[in-house]
Amino acid sequence: QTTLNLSSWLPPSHPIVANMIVPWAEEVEKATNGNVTVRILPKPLGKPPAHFDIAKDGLADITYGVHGYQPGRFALTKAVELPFLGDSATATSVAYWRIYQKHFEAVGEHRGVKVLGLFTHGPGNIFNSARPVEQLSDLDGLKIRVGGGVVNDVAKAIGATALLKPAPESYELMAAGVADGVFFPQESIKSFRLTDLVKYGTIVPGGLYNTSFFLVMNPRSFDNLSAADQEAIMSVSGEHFAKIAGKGWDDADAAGNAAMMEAGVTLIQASDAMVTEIKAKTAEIEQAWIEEANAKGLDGAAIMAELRAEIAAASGSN
Amino acid sequence: MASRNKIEEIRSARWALRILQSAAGALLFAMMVLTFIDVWGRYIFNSPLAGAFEITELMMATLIFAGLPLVTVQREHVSVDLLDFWMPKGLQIVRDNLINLLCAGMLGILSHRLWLKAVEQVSYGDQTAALNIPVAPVTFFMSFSTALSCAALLFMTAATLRDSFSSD
Amino acid sequence: MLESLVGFAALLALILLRVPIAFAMGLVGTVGFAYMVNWHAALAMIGTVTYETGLAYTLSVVPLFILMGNFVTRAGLSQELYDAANAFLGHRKGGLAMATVVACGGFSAVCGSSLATAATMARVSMPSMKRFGYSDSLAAGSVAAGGTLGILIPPSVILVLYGIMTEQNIGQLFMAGVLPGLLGILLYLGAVRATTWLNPKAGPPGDRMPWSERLRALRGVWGVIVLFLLVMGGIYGGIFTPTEAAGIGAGGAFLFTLARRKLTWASLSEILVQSVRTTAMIFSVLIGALMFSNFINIADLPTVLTNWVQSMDLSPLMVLMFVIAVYLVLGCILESLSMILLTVPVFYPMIAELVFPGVPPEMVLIWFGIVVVVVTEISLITPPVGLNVFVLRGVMPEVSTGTIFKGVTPFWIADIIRLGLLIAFPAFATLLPTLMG
Ligand code: NA
Ligand code: NA
Repeated sequence: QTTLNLSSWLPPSHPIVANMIVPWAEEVEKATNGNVTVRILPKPLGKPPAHFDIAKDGLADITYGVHGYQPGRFALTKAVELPFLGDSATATSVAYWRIYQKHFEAVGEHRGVKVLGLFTHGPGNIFNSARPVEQLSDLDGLKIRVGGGVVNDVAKAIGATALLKPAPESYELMAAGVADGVFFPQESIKSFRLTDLVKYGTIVPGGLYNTSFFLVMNPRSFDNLSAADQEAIMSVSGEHFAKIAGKGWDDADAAGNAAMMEAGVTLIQASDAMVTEIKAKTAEIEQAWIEEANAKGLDGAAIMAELRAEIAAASGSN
Repeated sequence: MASRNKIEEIRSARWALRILQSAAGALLFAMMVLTFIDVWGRYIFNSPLAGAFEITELMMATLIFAGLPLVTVQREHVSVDLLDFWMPKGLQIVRDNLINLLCAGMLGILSHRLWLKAVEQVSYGDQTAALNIPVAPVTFFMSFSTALSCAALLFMTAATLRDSFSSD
Repeated sequence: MLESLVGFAALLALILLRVPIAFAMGLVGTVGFAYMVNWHAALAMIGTVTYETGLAYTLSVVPLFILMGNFVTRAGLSQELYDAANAFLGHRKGGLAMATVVACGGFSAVCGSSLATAATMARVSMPSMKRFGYSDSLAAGSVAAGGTLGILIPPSVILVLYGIMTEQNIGQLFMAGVLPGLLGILLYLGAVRATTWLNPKAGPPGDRMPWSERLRALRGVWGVIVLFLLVMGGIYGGIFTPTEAAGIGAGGAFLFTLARRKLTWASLSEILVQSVRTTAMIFSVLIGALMFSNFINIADLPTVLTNWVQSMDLSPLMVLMFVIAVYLVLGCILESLSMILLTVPVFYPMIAELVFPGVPPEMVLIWFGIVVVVVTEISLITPPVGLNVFVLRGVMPEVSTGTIFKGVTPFWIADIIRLGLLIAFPAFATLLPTLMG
């Protein structure tokens, strides 16, 4: 009978907690026949960027977090954040787990923790309060809030004025008019209460970017469990969790879309011409990733091709 | 108070404090100027400073920890002297020294933990998001200034003890 | 639950033994965390908490608002505020004390800290109250109480910390503080009136100023108005965020001080270093409090408390009364910053779940923030540990602490009335933020 503490930095209503962590915790309890329960702490034990270390150092047994919050530490995980990987978070997340096991795990970027799962959110899009963005030149002069990592590079490449600020400040920045827009998946417009501030959205087929997340556990806490419990936990984690998490994001994106419709946000599809334009301007970001992967002794170009193939395969099987 | 003056009698300590003061003051001023330029640059010229956010963070940490030894030496940590009126003077001195040692011990441990954190940051290659500035040097500085505060407390305790023995 | 209570008891014991509050909280937090988890995790925790608190972007408002207050003091704005208030009120019975209260309110609009407000206004207003033969207790009481307005009238360091802890919009919190702040000034004026009614010798009238003098004195306060409008207007005009407002306010105050030729290299350096020291002191308390609250968190106190309240089936107002009672008691002993840092994380999850009459659901935590700040203001002037009173003792050592606490009593009653009004009519806090969207 073990209780594992999980430090959560998002509110209980957020899709990651409500649609992913809570269902997963229930499955853990069921799979271990009630031997292991996961307790979500009432408050996080640190700020979002600290959550990898919080599991590594054993402050809590389990945490989730965003790789990009610790720039410099994770390079390979940026593969799944690149533009045009697909429209389904489920497919991307499942493919991500497979590629991780096959290629990334041995490199040891996650050393110090037991990786239980990896996943991405749905395709990132362009939202703003000023005007419909039908071509990239419409972004000129718009101040866009972005997080760190690939989305920051993308924003710079396509000519937006990027404001690098923490995601929870989005509402304040847009409400005050400091930022004109955000790059977010559709879900975040709802969960960060931006539905009334955003007037126009441009949906980019395949996604302008993604965000890479982890679900990790303290290795000593994991080793202290019986072999049967360990196996039971892993049976509902890994690829299984990638499916839970991906579906959680996809459902949340649908809910975000509905909320925007209701609020009267004008949503347009990016034209083929605009997609071509974005592809041309962001090609070097993917090239930069390939070189980083090569520097770590991997075949970056081949892995990117394999990742795309896995995503296509996973999309087909859904 | 007496032991604080003792610290300032040592030339190297006096210089260290003076350097910390100037550096911390300059950092605070720079932080103000940075926000000023960032905001008006964004508002008037539509060009925010890239990474103003993360530079502010690094400056914050540096200025707070540059201030820590100053606060420690000046005995400006908030404390409550509620029960002092019924505690005999001699007992108060003993207690103050014990508290100094306790605080010094805590600062020593904290300094060590920050050192370990900095070493770990070097090995992970942690850096800032926009400007790719390595964060470890700031953590090393935090560790250093915490150690300095610890040393100052130890010195102050030693000075009081020496005084009380020599006055006997 | 039991662990948390033992922790709180140990903390109080250490604080009463005069262990610096920051260290007491850090020690109990670390040992408690080690007891609940293990030593390895506890030691890692102190490194992580210290590092990430140091690098907190949103907390950069703390040194910058302190810097702003220090520049404004140097610029001499406090003197002009007092002169202006005096020109209008000085000839009344207790008029100089009334002017002190009004000037404190005005100074609060450009200074984020209560201690700084009390210390500054004491230097400005004490000499003339002495000259006109004011009783020590009324003179000191009006400064100590007026000074508490510093954390309620925006900008306010305490409101910023509350906003960060509870994830509330800091701009809205600032707006919410305005009307209760004005209400506080009015009630404090009433307290002065009551004091002089009971004892006319406590506050003899000063000189009456002709209207020409009054209007001239009024011209001196434009600096305060400009700085206040710069900060609040910038936030609401979409030019900058509340986090950035502190930097803009400090920059504006710097330019202002410079323009008045009040700045030398030496005084600039002194202001900067003083601000850094205050910042380091506050952050030591902050880091210690975060260590302690990690322990409370892992010991599950907030959840236990929330469940207990639900199981007792108390009405929301009863819960609020309970919380306020805890604050009033803690406020006697604890210093204001650590009190907020320790208690808000414990109480706000519980309050957020409740429905209060007259409070829109999205405004509950904004309103609660103002309630918390008002009870914190009370803690600044209640014995035995009232920091504003201590500040005054530093400025005028010849007046006994007992005299000051006695002089503060009518103001304390005014505070309790204000608290009652704020609970009976939450619109005092919620009206402006609702109007401003
Ligand atoms: Na204020
Ligand atoms: Na008190």
